[in-house]
Amino acid sequence: MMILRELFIVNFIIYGFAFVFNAPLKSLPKAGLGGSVGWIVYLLTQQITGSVIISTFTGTLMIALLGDFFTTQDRKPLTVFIVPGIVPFVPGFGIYNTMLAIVEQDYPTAVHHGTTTFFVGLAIALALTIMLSINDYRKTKKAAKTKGKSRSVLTHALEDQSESQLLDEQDS
Amino acid sequence: MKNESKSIMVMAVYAGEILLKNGAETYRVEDTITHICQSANHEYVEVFVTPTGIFVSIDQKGTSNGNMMTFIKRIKTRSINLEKVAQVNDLSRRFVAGALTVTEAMDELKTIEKSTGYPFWQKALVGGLSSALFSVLFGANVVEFVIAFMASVMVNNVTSNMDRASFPLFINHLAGGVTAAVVAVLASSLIPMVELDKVIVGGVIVLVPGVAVTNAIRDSIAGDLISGMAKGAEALIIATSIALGVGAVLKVWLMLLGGILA
Repeated sequence: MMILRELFIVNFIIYGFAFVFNAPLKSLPKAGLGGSVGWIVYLLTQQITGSVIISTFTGTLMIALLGDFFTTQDRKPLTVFIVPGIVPFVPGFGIYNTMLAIVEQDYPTAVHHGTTTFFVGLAIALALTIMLSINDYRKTKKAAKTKGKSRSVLTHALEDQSESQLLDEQDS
Repeated sequence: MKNESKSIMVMAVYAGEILLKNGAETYRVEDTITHICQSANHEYVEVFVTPTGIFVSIDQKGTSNGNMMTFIKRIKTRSINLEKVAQVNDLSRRFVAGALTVTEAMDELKTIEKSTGYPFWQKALVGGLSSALFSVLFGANVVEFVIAFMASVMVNNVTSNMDRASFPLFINHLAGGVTAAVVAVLASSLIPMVELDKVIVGGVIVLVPGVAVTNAIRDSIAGDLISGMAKGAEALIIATSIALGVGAVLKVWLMLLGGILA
């Protein structure tokens, strides 16, 4: 019962923040769904491991996975689904508490909050980066297979380079 | 030829500017500008994006087609508006696919930039409800929920009004923190069942830079070190200003009343 109540609250928080961040109206239900599934994964992992950092990591991984699925479905950038989804995990209060403790000259508490903030932030960022990199790799491989061309970068202005693939890397 | 290059570049940087101002990731801004320029026959594109500026150089193949061009754009304000990010992303896709001319794209970008999104009162209301629910997650009761809701709406009001009057970031969030703390102090002195912390939590959650911290670490991991450092600094400044606002009010309250009413 507690979990259901918490899930309902988290779901509404995600909807609310998606609205505040001006997410497109059509993507709201999907953002909410992704975030809620991520929260369930977070709770389950916390039951098993008891670590906030590991559970944040797995929860975010789930959100990124679902977000990626929704992206290919809807042709909307990944941010639209991820940013509202990670709001319940994000260590905003951590950094605020750190600074408050420093203002109040309570340095041990500041160090405690500060390290937790950093590692929770690291867990979220790492999960997103891992998902995105795998995704990118998959896409460039697919593109290389179909086109046989690679993306060109300006290394030297007068150097000749092959044409670039234009469309495939835009999403994600 | 030269004018064409210029208009493409201006359009691409404008698209990048809208993306960056509305909370897109660094790599997305760089990718969008690169794709737009490359699709318009400028094979050599080098983009460097930081949260405070966009730097682009473009050139065409061969030595005879004019000079290399560079455009620097300063970005001063940043917020989050995912709708605009989605719209610009869609536009750049259509432009790259060849469905739009440069002038059409420019006009569309102007309409996108002007759009305001959901009305402010709706955002304040929904944001307030979410923030109050956040304080429920931290264990607030019904009375605290209602007061946290009011605090959040007031904080939202104060900061967005000051934002419109273009006060600096630090002052805005300082005022937001002060507002939340004053509401919490008043409520907890008047109503005995209200705890200070829970109202403050609900009040400042809309300001707190959680997404910014995450994005900062994300950019740093991805190798965009300057972006990462800049976003991290911004998050730290915001957190400091909120904490200063809240801390100052609590300190004054303690000095004046000795905290007896807590």
